[in-house]
Parts: sequence; structure tokens; C-alpha cells
Amino acid sequence: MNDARKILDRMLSSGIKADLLVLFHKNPGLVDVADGVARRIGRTADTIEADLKDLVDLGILRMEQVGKLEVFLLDHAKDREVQSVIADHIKSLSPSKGV
Amino acid sequence: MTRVNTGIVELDKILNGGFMRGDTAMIAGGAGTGKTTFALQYLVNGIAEFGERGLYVTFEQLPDQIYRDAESFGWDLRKMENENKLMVMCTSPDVLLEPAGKDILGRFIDQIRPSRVVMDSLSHIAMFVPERELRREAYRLLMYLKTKRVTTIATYESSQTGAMSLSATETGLSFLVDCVILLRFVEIESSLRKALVITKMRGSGHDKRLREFEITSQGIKVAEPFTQYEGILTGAPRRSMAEAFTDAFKKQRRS
Amino acid sequence: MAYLLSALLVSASVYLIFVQESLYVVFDSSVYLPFHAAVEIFTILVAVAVAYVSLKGYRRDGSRTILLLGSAFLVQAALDTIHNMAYPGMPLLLVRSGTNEAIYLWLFARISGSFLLLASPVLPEKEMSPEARDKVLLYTLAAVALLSVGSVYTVNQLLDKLPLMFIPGKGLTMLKVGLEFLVTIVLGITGLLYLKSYLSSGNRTILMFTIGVSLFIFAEVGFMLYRHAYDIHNTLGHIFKLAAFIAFLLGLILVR
Repeated sequence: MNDARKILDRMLSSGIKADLLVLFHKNPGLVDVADGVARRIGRTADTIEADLKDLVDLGILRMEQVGKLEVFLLDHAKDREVQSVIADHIKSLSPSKGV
Repeated sequence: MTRVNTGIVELDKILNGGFMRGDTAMIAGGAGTGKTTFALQYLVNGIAEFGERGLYVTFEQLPDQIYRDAESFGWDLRKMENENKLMVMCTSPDVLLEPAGKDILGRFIDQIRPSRVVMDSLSHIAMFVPERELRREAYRLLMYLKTKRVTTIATYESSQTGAMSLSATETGLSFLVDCVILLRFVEIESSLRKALVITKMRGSGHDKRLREFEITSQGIKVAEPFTQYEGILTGAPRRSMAEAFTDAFKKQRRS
Repeated sequence: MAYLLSALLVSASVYLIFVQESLYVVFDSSVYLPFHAAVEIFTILVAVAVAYVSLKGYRRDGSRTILLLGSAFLVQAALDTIHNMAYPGMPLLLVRSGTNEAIYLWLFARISGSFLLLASPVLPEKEMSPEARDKVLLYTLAAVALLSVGSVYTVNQLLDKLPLMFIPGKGLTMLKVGLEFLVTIVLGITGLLYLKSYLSSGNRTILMFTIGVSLFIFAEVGFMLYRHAYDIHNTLGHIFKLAAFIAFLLGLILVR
């Protein structure tokens, strides 16, 4: 449960991360460079770089080297895993089970 | 040579049965002429009517927006994706222009194994490539798709000046494709209507007449040729003499 | 409206002047025949043009109104062609020539043409299905051909059994004048219907057709008055016929 808490805290530590998560979940076929991703949430590449890398560390996003470019895409399998962990954590917080 | 039906009945007639399998067609037109709708309907009909899977590659519009736009026609793209019949890939042109970027595209193609691909739109590549290299890079990309034996529709946003030109692109990209469908707005009796014409189709005959089409709640409907009008290509057509003469006396009957 | 009123005023004035006996003249055949042939050929060509545009419009639209209008002009074009060939002084070409011969053919053209023209705005509108249109067009062409052949046959073979329309030295018979008067009435009703339509629509083509029909009525006046095939009244009649078809032609040109 602590892991789930840590994951949640890291995932939602900034508004940009939230925007990125919404973007990739709503658009699971998105495969783009940082600049492209940034444009799609109305920002620039340098403002989202750190958050992007954090989501990569979390495993929700994957980074691939495409020639000179780094592209980011949703890691569907890992994302499902993280969602499952969070879902279990939320279930465990339900009043009937107590805190 | 087998044909790939678009599922838009009148359009398939104009194309003499549909696109030639493995070909690349370009749908060129200004903003709002219905290029994306045509392309979407091509994929959706392929899935629903012919059991052919599709891949939609979009550069500018987010998949979320495409899902929402498709819903207005009753097309549930998310459901099709969940059933592995469709994939919507969103990327930047510079990713696909990288040699390794095509491998990512290839991976998507291997995953979904589509028979039909849409690239929306080819004009975005121009933003990432110097003009002198545009044709070469576009050629490379389109030829890559040909090696995957898919039938592709590439949209192209072209400007529409006052007089309707038959040139699909300002950059010569129409030379790279096998079929060109031009979409245009025309003004008829103070209202904007849409016209389409096939200007090129390699290896096949096709109907060369300008036709009206409209975007209905079920998608694109292609109507009869504009035989009652002349000068459609000027952008401001006028009725043919026979049509105007008939109307004068028919109105007489209603008065 | 000013054009219509001017046409009516000028036409009336012309008749008031030329109806006087002091201005009565009979032209020489060497002058009259070419004049007559030229007028008829011009009006036939205009009639063909109107018929073509109408029937083309019918083919696309299926409107009974426009079919009847086109048929009216087509039948006049066909029968006026034969009338021209039958005019007194013309050589034998398909049909016998002579005053009575020419009058009968003229009347066939005017009666059939004027009634079809009246039927066009009067009969209820009906749209033919696309499949039926070509068939109907074929029947129309066949009917015009049949009428033409029938007219030629009548003039060539049956004229001696038919009542006279013109008596040399005396002029037109009452039957002829009565039939022309009937045509005038029919044209008059058509003209009024076109005028009503023009007043509500402001359509220039309808205006020109209203003027054309009005001028044709004046032409008919001439064709009720003449005493010789080459006289001033017949000449005026044909001049007004020419003016009428110029109006129809303008109606076609101004349609867009």
C-alpha cells in the first residue's frame, strides 16, 4: 500500500504530470517527441521534460530512441499494472475495511 | 487487379469500383471540406463492411478529438480499437521522417495488420522539411507504406483561392500518389456547397465529372454530377441555360 | 413592364397607320418571297432553340410545364418549315405550294402551337420519373413527326376536299379569320398568364415571353386582314412574328 501511495504521490506531484497522464490515457496511440507532446498540452518541451522523465521512471511512459530523437509513448502493460495497484489501494481505503 | 471499396456507394462508382489495392490516394482540399471525414469513413467502412482493419496516423488532431468527431456519425472508434480492428496513432512528422521512426510505424502496422491506412495529413510534413526535400521525404514515407501492402489515403490541406485550380498541392506531391480526389467549396446561389472531382487515377478509368457531396449524420454522401451548373471550377458557378430556363417557367407554375 | 407597354403601344400605332387604304400595297414576289423565307427561317431557328433548351431542361427536370412549352415551339418549327415550302411562288418541294396550302399549314402550326403553349402554364405541374422521361421525349418527337407528315399529306392529297381559307380576288374566308381569332384568344390567355407570373416573379425571361406572345397577337391581326399573300397586312403580320421571336430569343439569352 505504501508503494501505491508513493506511486500516486509521484504521479500527481504536478499539474503538468496530470496533463500528461490525461493526454496519454485519452490518446493511447500517441507516440511523439517531447516538443510534440508539449505542444499538445499547450507547453514547451523544456517545461515538461522533467515530468516526462519522471513518468518514464515510473514506467507509465516509455522512451525510445528513434535516430537522433527520443520519443515517448504509453507503456500499456506497465500502465495497466500501475492502475491495478492504485485500484487495489483505493479499495483498501474503503470505510468497511477501516484505515 | 482487386479493388478496395470505400463503402461510399457513389464514390466507388466514380472510382470504377474503388481504389486499386496497394495504391495511395490523396484527398486534397481546404479546411472544412471533409477530408478527415472521408478518410475516417474509408477506415470505418473497411472494418464494418469488408472486415479490413485500419490504421489512422494523425499528426495534428489528437486521437481523442477524432474519437469524438467520429461519434457524431455513430462510429465508435474506441470500441474498434478495443476489438483490435483499428489503431489511431498520433505523432509528429519528424518522428516518421527519421529512418528509425518508420520502424515505429512498422511496429504499429505489425501489431494491427491493417489493410487500410490513413495519413492525416501530408501537408504537415512540409512544416518539418525544407521545401527542396519535401517531395523526396514524402516519397520515402509513401513508398514505405507501399512496402507494407496497405491501401493508403493521405489527406492534404490545400489552399482554395477564388478560382478553383485543379492542382491539388502547391508542392507537386500529387505526382507521388496514384489517385487524387479534390474537394472544393463552391458558391451556388449564395450558399457554400461542396464539390469533388477525381483528377487522377493511375491504371484505371474514372468518372471525370464534378459532383456535389455533403456530410450527413451518416457520413459522406456523394450526389449526382453538377450538370445543371457551369463554371464550377471558377468557384462561382452559374446554372446552365436549360436549368435556368426550366426554373423560370416552373416558378411560374408555383406563382 | 415599360418594355411591354412600349411594345404594345408601338405595335398598335403601326397598325393604326398601315391599316389605312391609302397605304395598301402588294409587293412583287421577287421582293416578298425572300423576305418571307428569311423571316420564317429565322423564327424556325429560334423555335428550335427554345424547343431544344426546353426539352433538355425537361430531360433533367421532368417538368410537364417545360415539356409542353418545348413541344409548342417544336411543332411550330416543324410545321412552319413546311408552311415556308408551301408558300405561293415557292417551287415544289415536298409539298404543293399555293395560298390555301400555305394557310392550312400555317393554321396547323398556330393552332397546335398556341394550344400547347396555353396548356403549359394551365395544366397542373407533374414531374416525370427519370426512367419515363426519355420515353416521353421520344413520343413527343414521334407525335411532331406524325403531325408534320399528316399535314403534308393533308395538303397534298386532301386539300380539294377541305373548305377554302382564301379566295383569290376576295381575300380570306370567315373560317380562316375565325380560326385566327381563336388562336388570338388562346394566345391572349397565355399572355395574361405570363404577365401574371412576371408581376409576381420579376423574371426577365417571363417578361420577354409575355412581350413575344403579345407581339404574336399583333401578328395574328395582320393575318386576319390580308387580301393577298404578298400584301402589306401579311407583311406586317410577318414583321410582328419576327419581332415576337426576337423577344423569345432574348428571353433565352437573358435567362441567366
